[in-house]
Amino acid sequence: MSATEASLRGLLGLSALGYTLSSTIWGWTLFGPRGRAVGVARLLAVFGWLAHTATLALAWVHLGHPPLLGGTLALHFFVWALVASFGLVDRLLRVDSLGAFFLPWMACASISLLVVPSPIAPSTLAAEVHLPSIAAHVALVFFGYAFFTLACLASTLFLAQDRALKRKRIGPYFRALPSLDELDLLHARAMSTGFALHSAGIALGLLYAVQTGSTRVFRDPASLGAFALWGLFCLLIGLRWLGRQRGRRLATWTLAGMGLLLVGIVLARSGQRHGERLARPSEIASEERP
Amino acid sequence: MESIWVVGASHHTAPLEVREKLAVGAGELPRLLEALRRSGPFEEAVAVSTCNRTEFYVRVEDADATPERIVSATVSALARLRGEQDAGIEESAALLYVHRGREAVRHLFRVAASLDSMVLGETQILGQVREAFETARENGHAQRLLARTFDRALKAARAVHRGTGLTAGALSVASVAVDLAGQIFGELSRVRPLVIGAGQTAELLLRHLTAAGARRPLIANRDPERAGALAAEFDGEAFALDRLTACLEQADVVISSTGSPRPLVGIEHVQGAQRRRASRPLFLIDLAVPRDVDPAVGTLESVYLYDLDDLQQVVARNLERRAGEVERGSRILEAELEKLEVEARKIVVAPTIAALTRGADALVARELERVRARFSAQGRAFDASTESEVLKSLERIARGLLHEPIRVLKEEAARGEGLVAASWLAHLFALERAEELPEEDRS
Repeated sequence: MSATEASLRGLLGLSALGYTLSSTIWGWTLFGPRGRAVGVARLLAVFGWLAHTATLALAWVHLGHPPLLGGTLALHFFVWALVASFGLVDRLLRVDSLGAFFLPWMACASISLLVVPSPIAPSTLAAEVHLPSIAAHVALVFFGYAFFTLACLASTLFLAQDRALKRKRIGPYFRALPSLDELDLLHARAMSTGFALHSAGIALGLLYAVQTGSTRVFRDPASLGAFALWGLFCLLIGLRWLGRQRGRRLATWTLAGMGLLLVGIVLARSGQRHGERLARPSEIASEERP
Repeated sequence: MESIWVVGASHHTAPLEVREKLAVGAGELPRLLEALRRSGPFEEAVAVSTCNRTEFYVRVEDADATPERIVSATVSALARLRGEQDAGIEESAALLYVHRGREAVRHLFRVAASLDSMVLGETQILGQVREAFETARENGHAQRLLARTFDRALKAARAVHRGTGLTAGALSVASVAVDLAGQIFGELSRVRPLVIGAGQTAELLLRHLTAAGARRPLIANRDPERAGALAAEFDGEAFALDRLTACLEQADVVISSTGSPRPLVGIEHVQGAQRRRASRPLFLIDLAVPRDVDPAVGTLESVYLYDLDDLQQVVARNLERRAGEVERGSRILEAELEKLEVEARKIVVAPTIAALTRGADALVARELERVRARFSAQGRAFDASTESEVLKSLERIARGLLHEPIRVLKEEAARGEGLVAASWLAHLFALERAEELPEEDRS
């Protein structure tokens, strides 16, 4: 293992430790006295995120391009963007219990990053994808996905809280959940921020496509997924502001949309791989000839 | 801990007419404590008097003290405080309970932790016990063992509150409603209540909501005067009942308590209001019998309807949950009781340790003087640095010799054999007797 890789693993380990400790303390505050514990949990989350930022910065320096594309790098960046998005929303809304429901997922994700291939494994992607404009496009789209994930988390918690109130099953964990209004506000803020960033990312991507005359953007599953998410943003924001929908219905639409999006991306990727295999039978046949 | 007693009456053992004779106001406490210490062999005393109990915690060093004597002295002190021989107080003596030693301390722990309260898990008693203790301490009636016991009781109570769900969940209809409103709206300062009708429970609920932050209530009533009076009191607006639909659009929490034989709020009212409210959450609390709100309203999206039965069921579930925490709370208290017992045993040997240390210091001082005199007689310089070195050596020898006896003494104290070990040490080292010790070193 090279010195750079060892440093990366070390920083990732610190990041995972920060997120894990933060989620443990935050989870404890759900059922025990909060006092300063929430502040400590927030500090630990910031510590984890800074260590994560250092990981990406080190990868950038080593690779010579932004650490955004390629399977492992994209995963690293997405987790980092998720935590950054949560931090921004938490700063705006200051809902004390929110971190207890969000950080555990980040802790699991960051621990799993420790076992995936190194983020500085050589990239097999074409050089053009490391251009600044493409990097900005990808980063903004990732943030769009991150904020949408936050909106989905808010929707899940909303539905749980709404169900408990409707069924009048006020259990001991009832108080631990944020209030319905807080969750609805989180959903609204996540959607509007995510939509703005995602739209900027899409615009940058389209601009590049127009400038280079590339039509790949309309066939690539990742691009199609980004367009689909943008459409979903428009639909949900439209339902809220024009259709005056909120609460359970909007939460259900959000989760349904996320589900469809994920299924769509998986199907599109499978379709792309199948198409690529079909397009290469003559190459395979010539390789197999003695 | 055998020297600690408690004498008292509570809602478990005595009716209100007896408890009110024994009750002591906060202003009377210092005089009562003074009277208590004069009337009996009480070295320390603390009196806890609330609406549900009056208890006297005392420390008695007389090993021959009997429960009858303790009760008699306590009752005399109370009677003296009232300035007359109150027959009622004398009669109530038969209803007083008496505990001693570990049992008395366990009782105190349970009282402070609200395990003995009428409403299990109520937190007011902790503040009341603390105030009673502070009053006794400030007036010089709780200094040593009783002070340590009360300190430990308050700490144990806080540990129970933190470590169990004993204080979780509201226990009144009004508190449950406020809790539910909090779970729906979060910050109640943005919430606008609407009160339909003017029942006492509705008014109480409105008080709770406004105390929690809700502002500018809407009051809808058949009687405009009544509506106006309530609106003025809570800085709200009054409306006639025929403007109910308009009020529903502006309200977030609706409290209904009229005598109407038929529902006043139907599904069409709420649907219309919700359309104009952009489907913001609406919380309806129907306190009326027969109900004021059509139950079908509860099926609408973003509308949460709770009637009296629903709220009372939440209260009952909260009470059940608290009852389930009693065992866990008791275990925490027993652990704290153990710690106090070990501490109390160590207090017994504290004067002996102090005497040993003093004796060693005196010996060191004498030897230092002897060395100084010897040096002087021999014409040798005995400067400050030499004196310091000699003093340090003498102190190290003294401390080294005493370290093991003191360590063993503390161990024996923890095992309950402190007095025996202390008396042997006193005999071996020819220590001063306890009564010759300064006041602060006596137990």
